[in-house]
Amino acid sequence: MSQELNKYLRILIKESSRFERTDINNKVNESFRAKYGLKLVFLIITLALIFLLKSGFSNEFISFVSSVLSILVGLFITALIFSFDKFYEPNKSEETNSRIKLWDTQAYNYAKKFAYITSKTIVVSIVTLVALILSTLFKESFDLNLFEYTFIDEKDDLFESILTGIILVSNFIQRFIVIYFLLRIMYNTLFIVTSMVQYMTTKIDRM
Amino acid sequence: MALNPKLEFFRFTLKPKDKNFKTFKEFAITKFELDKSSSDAEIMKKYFSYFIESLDGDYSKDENQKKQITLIKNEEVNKYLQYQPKFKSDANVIHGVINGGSYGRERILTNKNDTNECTEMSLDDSVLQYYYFLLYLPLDHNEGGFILHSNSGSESITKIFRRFISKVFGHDGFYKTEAELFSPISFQDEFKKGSHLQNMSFKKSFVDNIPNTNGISNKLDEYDIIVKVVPKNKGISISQINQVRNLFSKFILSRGNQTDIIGDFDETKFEVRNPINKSNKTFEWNKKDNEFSPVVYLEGRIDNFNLDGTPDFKELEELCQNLFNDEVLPELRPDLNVTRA
Repeated sequence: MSQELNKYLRILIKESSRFERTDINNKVNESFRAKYGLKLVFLIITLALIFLLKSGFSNEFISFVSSVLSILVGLFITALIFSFDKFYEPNKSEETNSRIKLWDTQAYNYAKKFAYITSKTIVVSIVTLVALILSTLFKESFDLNLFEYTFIDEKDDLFESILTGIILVSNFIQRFIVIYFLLRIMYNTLFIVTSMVQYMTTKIDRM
Repeated sequence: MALNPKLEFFRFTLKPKDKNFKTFKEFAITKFELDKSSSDAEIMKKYFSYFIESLDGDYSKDENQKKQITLIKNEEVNKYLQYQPKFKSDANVIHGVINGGSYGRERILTNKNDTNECTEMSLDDSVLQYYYFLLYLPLDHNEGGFILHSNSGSESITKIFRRFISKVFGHDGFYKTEAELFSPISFQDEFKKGSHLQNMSFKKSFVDNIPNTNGISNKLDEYDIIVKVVPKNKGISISQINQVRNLFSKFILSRGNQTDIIGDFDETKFEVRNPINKSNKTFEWNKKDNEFSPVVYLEGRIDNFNLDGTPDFKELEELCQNLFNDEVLPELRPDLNVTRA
């Protein structure tokens, strides 16, 4: 099962990354901006927030974000199931022309894009929740002020120094994952909602 | 070469009165009363025979322009009958060389070396030349187009062919279709790169109806008024063209109480020169899209020309087929480039 999960996750990450840059006509934007622009912006914001936060996440923040993410996961799973047969219905009519073919292909592409991006958002939300759980489980280890620590040249407490180093790195990684992924979840949520509305109104107009 | 043959590109859309999307196949089924199960090959064959029949019909003559288009099927007279129109049902294309020219003038036909050898040409006699066209009628789509060759401003069937297409693709239940000039983006990019403005001209063919005592007014329709703007600084880039046009298009040509804004003239052209390859190109203002469209001259694109300065039709046919597949089709049919992810 773990092998299958790995495979599914790999496919999901690869395909969702591609679909984030692909429009409904299956044109992939290969520009530097499309590939790395958003990632760089999120990276800068994340590093800035890690610097500003200093001592990690407050209890209120953890409680609030956990609730929001739980609601979003539920919402996205519903949207995913809903999209399965609502967004794309194969054209069974004998009458076919360029417009019907175009709409059929665009609906197919949008349904796939929606499914991959929504699924990735669910997975990212779950990973963020797991990262937040660390702050609750190991409260003392995950509210360290990273900027109070410096490198020292002491060989007596080598084990303790290594352990402190691991904890500090874990703190940094946990904060990075939570903030970076929250930005990604917010962005994807905006995309999912706005594109869904646009798609639905376009479909109504075509009737 | 006295002539300067060029290609022009047009697109036109079927406009059903019930506002539904109607393809050229549906149009043919309605117009020719065909069975709905007719194959694409049968429909294209019908379109082709209808097109050829129409070349001898009322739509092929324009009394205002005193011009006609037709197909002379006498192989002793028509030098290029081998290139007569044919159709490709799989590509939805009708293409070939037709004849067109003017009538309605009292003229004399004579030998330039022996003027005693002459005959009178009546008002009904047309002087016809050879013009290549490529007409695209996509059976699964509602927008078609055509490429048309002309030799110069006066040696052209552009106006009458546009009118012909509008009439031929008219039917009960459809609004009149208008063929609109367009230029593939790739041409625009090719021409715009690094070019500088040489001159800009505004042209108007006057039809004046103001009573005038000196009599010249009645003859104004025999003249073209051309206002030419030539920059002293030859470094004006093509990106500033619209500013130049906006500046001069507000100028007014005035005669007594009658005024004409230059920007409303019939034709606006500008010529640019590329200092790198030292070539000159001419653009025309496209009133529909409010932008300049490059004119695709055949000099440089065609190697062989006939003795009368017209392009070699075999070469022209190949060029137009390539241009159609590579440049025109992707723009007329963006849906063909949409694939499943």
